[in-house]
Amino acid sequence: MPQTPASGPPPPTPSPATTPPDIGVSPAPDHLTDPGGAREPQAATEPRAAAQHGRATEPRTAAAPAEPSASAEPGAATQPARPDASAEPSPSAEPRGSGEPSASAEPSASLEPGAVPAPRRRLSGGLVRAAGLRIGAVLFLLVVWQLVAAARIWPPVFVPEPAAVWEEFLNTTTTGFSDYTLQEHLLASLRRILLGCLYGITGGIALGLVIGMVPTVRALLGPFVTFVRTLPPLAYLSLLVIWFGIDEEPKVWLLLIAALPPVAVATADAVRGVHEDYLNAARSLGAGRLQLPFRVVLPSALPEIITGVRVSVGVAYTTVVAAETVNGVPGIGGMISAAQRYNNTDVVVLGIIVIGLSGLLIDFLLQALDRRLVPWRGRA
Amino acid sequence: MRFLRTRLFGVAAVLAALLPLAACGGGDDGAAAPKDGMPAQIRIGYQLIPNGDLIVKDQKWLEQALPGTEIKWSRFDSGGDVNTAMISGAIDIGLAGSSPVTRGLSEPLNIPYQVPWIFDVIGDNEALVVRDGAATDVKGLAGKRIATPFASTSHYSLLAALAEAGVAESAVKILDMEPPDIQAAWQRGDIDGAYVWTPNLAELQKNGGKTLVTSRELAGRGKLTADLAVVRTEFAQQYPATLRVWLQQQDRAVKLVRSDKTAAAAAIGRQLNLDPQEASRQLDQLVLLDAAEQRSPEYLGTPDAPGKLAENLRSAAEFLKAQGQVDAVPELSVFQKGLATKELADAFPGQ
Repeated sequence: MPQTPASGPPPPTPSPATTPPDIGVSPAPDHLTDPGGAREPQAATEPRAAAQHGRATEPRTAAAPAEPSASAEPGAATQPARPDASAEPSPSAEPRGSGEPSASAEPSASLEPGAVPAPRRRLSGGLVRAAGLRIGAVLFLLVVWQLVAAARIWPPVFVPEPAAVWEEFLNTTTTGFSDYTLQEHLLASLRRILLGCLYGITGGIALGLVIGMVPTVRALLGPFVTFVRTLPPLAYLSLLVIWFGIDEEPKVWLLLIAALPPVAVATADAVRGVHEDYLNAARSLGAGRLQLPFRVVLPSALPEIITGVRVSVGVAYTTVVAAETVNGVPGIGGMISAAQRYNNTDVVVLGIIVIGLSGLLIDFLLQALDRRLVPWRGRA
Repeated sequence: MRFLRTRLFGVAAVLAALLPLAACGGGDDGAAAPKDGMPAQIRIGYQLIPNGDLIVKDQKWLEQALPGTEIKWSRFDSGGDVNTAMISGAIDIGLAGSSPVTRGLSEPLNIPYQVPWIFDVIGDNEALVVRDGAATDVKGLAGKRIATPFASTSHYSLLAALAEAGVAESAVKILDMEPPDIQAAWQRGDIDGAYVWTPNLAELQKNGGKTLVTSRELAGRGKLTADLAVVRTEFAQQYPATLRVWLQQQDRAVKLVRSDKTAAAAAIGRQLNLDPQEASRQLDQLVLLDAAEQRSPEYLGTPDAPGKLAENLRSAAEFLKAQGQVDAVPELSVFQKGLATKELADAFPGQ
């Protein structure tokens, strides 16, 4: 069932075919291989995909002329999302596009209109299955957890029951823990992570760019970045406390130091991996000194940089508990270490779950960002 | 269908993997050994506090008195960690402050352990110090930033001092920090004061700290804090003879402090990396009790008449209940049973 619409009609979107031309040049390569690309924003696609299911058979059988006007609407509705998805890379891809053989742009024009929505529709069925699997896995874990807790093999201090953790969730969100509610703890931590990642990622991209492009800097700073990357955060936290005090600075610094190296390494590697042809093409077309890094190197390194960003946000997230061991309240890590002091395992487990879930959410957002910024990933 | 079957196999595999885990987690008592009296191994959790325990460790008295037994010393930094280790059955005998022990004996922890010995009554080695000019008395702490390791005896004493002075806990910004971090924050000027213990306390006092109240003063006013020994009940029942030897060595250490201060201070100095003078000074800040004093009604008491320590722990529990640190205040009898008075009496029959 889910497979049919995929092989099915490309037509539903021909109506907006008027719009693509302005975006047609840049994302050309992706649409060539589009059916293979199965990664799509899930939540957003579902309702639309469902709508298209209903219509899917129609263009084939029923009046084609009548349909376009009807399908123009949903097609148009999706349009705002697409242009900026593909428009954004367009400036970046410009130099490349111009450097590449123009032949690649040619077939794309013919494929484009129908090819884009196809994988989205195919995914809806798979999505249901994937969602079902995930829910099933979570339920299974909950059941195992409940069984293990109820068996009382270990005292509740070791394995609190799901119900106790849930109760703690209600408690902490209303009356709070350590004078702050769970939301306030989480918000304080997210703020630190945001700041630390912002500084860390900006610094990491800049550093990586320089390391990747300038051999002298690479020789000088490369080992240093690797050195910092291997340090466990708890080892230098006490140093940061001595240098920066006990308030926000040491925490943000710690997260910065944790977040910077992965991006720097990923950027440096990606920059070094930029195809020589792109650079030569851009140079021969008269690209300036500053245009080269910002309009050719960075855009083509973007997929790997974004992977680095995802890794570094993850690292920052794992570091937040360490960052908040010193005066970390409010903060989700501070909450966990405070609860741990009192052997309040319910709250510890709750904190872990909250960190895990919010981490998942953030990674999901980053993946969505990835799709927006680098729709050509894996296809260029 | 085959899909389903493989998935069921997966479930079975996970369960199969979990079961042995469950089996080995339950009855974990690492001291499993010959039943004839002496265990093969005693796992002791100690802390760097200048009391008799460090002398016993330094002089290897336990190793000598129990030749067939391996003595495994593990260092802990706080009573909370000792509680955790006790719950998991990872140590047999440990040192924890009266606050952690109160929590351990109360809901929801209910750790099956007993107090056979008081290592020391906390005196001048824990105190509330403030930066010069920050405050002249406890009342003046309102609006100040005071650091203390949460869930410790210092935390308890700080809250008790605030309550005594009529300062609302919410009026003071109390920060949870480990002693070394407190020292760092103090040097940077990030905190106005701290309730903490030696050796970090001594550093703060050297760096212009003004002492507002000490635990010795609070103890005099009924808010006694102490460093207690805890022994797993199961261990105490299984190896009473071993526990007697352990108690006798502790008494010997206290007697050494009284008879030969220099030797005792040297031993403690070696363990704490302090010169003997400083070790001797820190030793003086604690109140050590020999076996006869331990058995007095003031402290552990006797099997027929459990001592006042039980009441002390209970009033600490009342205090902790108000702080939301324990779920309920247990009956006095719970704390009386928590004192290993019989073991203490057996170890020193002549007295």
